[in-house]
Amino acid sequence: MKRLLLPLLPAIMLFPSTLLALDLGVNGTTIVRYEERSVPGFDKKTMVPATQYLGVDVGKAADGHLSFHMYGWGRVDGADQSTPRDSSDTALSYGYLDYQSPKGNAEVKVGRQYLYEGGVVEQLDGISARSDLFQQYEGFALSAFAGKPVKTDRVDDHKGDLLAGGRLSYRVAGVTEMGLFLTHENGAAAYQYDKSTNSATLVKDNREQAGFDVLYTLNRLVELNGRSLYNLSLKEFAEHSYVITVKPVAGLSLSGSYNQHQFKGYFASASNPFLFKPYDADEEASYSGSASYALNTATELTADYTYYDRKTKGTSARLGLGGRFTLLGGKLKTGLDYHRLNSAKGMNSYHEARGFALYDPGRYYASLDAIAQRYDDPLPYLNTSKIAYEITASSGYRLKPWLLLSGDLSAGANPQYGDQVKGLLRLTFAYTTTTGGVGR
Amino acid sequence: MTVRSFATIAAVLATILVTAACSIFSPESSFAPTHPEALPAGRPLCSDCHEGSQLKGALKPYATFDHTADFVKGHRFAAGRDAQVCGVCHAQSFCADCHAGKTELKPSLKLGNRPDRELPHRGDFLTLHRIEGKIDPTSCYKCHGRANNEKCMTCHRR
Ligand code: HEC
Ligand code: HEC
Ligand code: HEC
Ligand code: HEC
Ligand code: HEC
Repeated sequence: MKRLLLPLLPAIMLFPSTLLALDLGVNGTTIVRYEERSVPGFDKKTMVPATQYLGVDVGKAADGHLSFHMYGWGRVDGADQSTPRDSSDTALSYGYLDYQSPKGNAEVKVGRQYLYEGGVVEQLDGISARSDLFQQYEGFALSAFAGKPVKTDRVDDHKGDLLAGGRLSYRVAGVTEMGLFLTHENGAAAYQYDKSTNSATLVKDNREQAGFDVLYTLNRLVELNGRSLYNLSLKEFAEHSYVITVKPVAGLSLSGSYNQHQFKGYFASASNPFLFKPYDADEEASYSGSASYALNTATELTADYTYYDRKTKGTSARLGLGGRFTLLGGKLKTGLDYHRLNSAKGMNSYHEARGFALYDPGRYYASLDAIAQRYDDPLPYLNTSKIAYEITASSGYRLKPWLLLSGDLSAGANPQYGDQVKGLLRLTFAYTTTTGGVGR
Repeated sequence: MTVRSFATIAAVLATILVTAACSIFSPESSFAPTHPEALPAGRPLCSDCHEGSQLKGALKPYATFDHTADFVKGHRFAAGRDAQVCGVCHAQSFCADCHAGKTELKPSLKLGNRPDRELPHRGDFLTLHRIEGKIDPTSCYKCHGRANNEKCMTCHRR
């Protein structure tokens, strides 16, 4: 895929005449970082990596229904190596042709793409299609996809060689939507983890998941969102996730949610079973409540509480309060947050506070962002400090409406690296031949 | 389910689709592939402009897509139902800033000029994640479970 698309780029650039009739969007971000890292016992390292993100969108071919979209990035290191593996790296995030039919919201995408269908979340090299089926006020919609899953850099990433699936949904206008979805990945590994021997055993050489999702709305007052995910390869539930939101008066929103995961079913096909251990004795449940109140268009206050219950580690609770304040007719945005995590026995607890301000009158902007954690105890194997903080100042100037030059400077200290100063320069451009929404 | 039964189901579905194509697909006109109107900065409340109406095709009130704090927190549900609606305004690269299968920069570093956005992992997350990862590793799996995690492997080999 990458080999196919990269040579295409100069071709696209060289023959603009053929593209005159088309919408063209090119966007990108160039980031040059500067970081000094000193870990006691190791040589001091200076890192100056440069990263380039590039997106190209070509729209409105074939009577306006066909378009092409791609996005990717590359990095080269100046000075010392910034990652353990290589001094340069690239990735193609996506590159696909998109046909959108004028009828029935039918759409076909061919190439590398991200897929979100119910509980299906994949990066695919292949084809996907969807359409509404005979519907007006209620009806079915169908989507399907097939291809190869995008591999990671690890040789053994437990991904397969064929990925296919789809989702069938039924909707009643303004009331409900229910969906059933299915994925099959041929050749993907499903592992199980044994704690006593710290080993992972292969139990199936495919990954198959099925699930159900639901939306139910009642007079715009109550909204229920949820889904359940079942691991067919292992005959084990993987996930239940349900949220109910109530909006009793304008501006006030209250929500309650329940999430539950079986590690055996959910983590079975993790790329690294030692990072996400598919241990059959472990499961996680969390219950949370949150409230947000928009006093007016300028002030929003939030509160949230979550109770976590991890079977093998015990229970924890998090409480948070926050506010967002917009001043000077939208030119100044500020925010304040406080969180407290009371962890299960044997884990560290901490306080966290954050504040930011962003002033953007148009031609230039300036912002300040500060975040700090205070741990109850020092962290094992790190320095004895119980405090971590980072303050970032950022400012930029719009050379052209589509070209922004900005820089960030941050200073801080933390138990991992001690004192740290980092900086970066960023050039962001987003050029389109139309005012329409090609690439955002 | 075996590969064979899966292939059979897929083949049957495909046959049904192709033969019934003309009569089964909705003849309603599609919604616009890109948002026709420029939006002011910040998160949009769709119902401010699309008052009281339904987003045709999605068969839901526009209010369902209002970008409130709750919507942003639970956007996974709307994304799983109506990814095509998201595509009206968002390029996939917008999502990939937080959801890339392979990327190196933390979202809060790439977008250090946007402290007003809801970006994960602000500040010293390398220390903090030792706690957060243990409290609930399932919340991390969503983005890191099957992604390119070379950076993590320096410490999480076994
Ligand atoms: C600033 C006002 C404004 C806001 C906010 C806004 N829209 Fe729109 N939108 C418009 C206008 C004007 C049109 C073109 C007229 C029309 O089709 O209603 C439009 C058209 C659309 C269309 C195409 C409709 C069709 O049938 O072709 C979709 C889809 C859409 N908007 C979705 C949304 C969603 C979802 C949101 C919230 C996330 C949103 N809009 C927020 C003003 C707005
Ligand atoms: C009418 C246009 C429109 C549509 C349709 C739309 N969005 Fe958005 N969305 C926006 C805009 C504008 C922002 C603010 C971006 C910014 O702050 O730079 C935003 C912000 C967001 C954010 C918050 C990001 C952050 O860091 O604060 C998420 C998440 C999001 N959208 C998800 C979705 C999903 C999922 C869908 C589809 C169900 C969707 N959006 C549909 C216009 C839209
Ligand atoms: C600002 C960062 C950010 C952006 C931008 C963003 N997301 Fe997310 N997304 C998250 C976070 C954080 C979660 C995990 C929270 C949760 O849902 O439990 C998540 C979860 C999801 C999930 C659920 C994944 C799973 O395996 O359960 C889907 C699907 C999703 N996002 C789709 C999208 C789409 C589509 C877009 C673009 C329109 C988008 N997201 C943009 C941060 C983001
Ligand atoms: C919305 C997606 C998303 C979720 C959810 C998420 N991460 Fe990340 N995380 C990222 C991205 C993107 C990066 C940057 C790329 C990278 O370093 O791999 C990152 C980076 C990291 C880093 C490296 C940070 C650094 O300073 O280099 C750690 C550690 C990490 N994540 C751990 C976690 C843990 C633990 C969780 C769960 C509590 C989690 N992540 C949840 C997207 C996510
Ligand atoms: C500098 C070393 C280091 C790096 C890099 C690192 N981690 Fe960790 N991680 C740790 C340590 C130490 C722990 C705590 C282990 C313990 O206390 O049992 C931990 C714990 C975790 C946990 C909790 C595991 C559990 O089930 O209890 C998760 C999840 C996690 N890390 C995810 C990540 C991800 C994802 C990345 C890469 C984006 C990453 N880590 C990168 C050192 C690291």
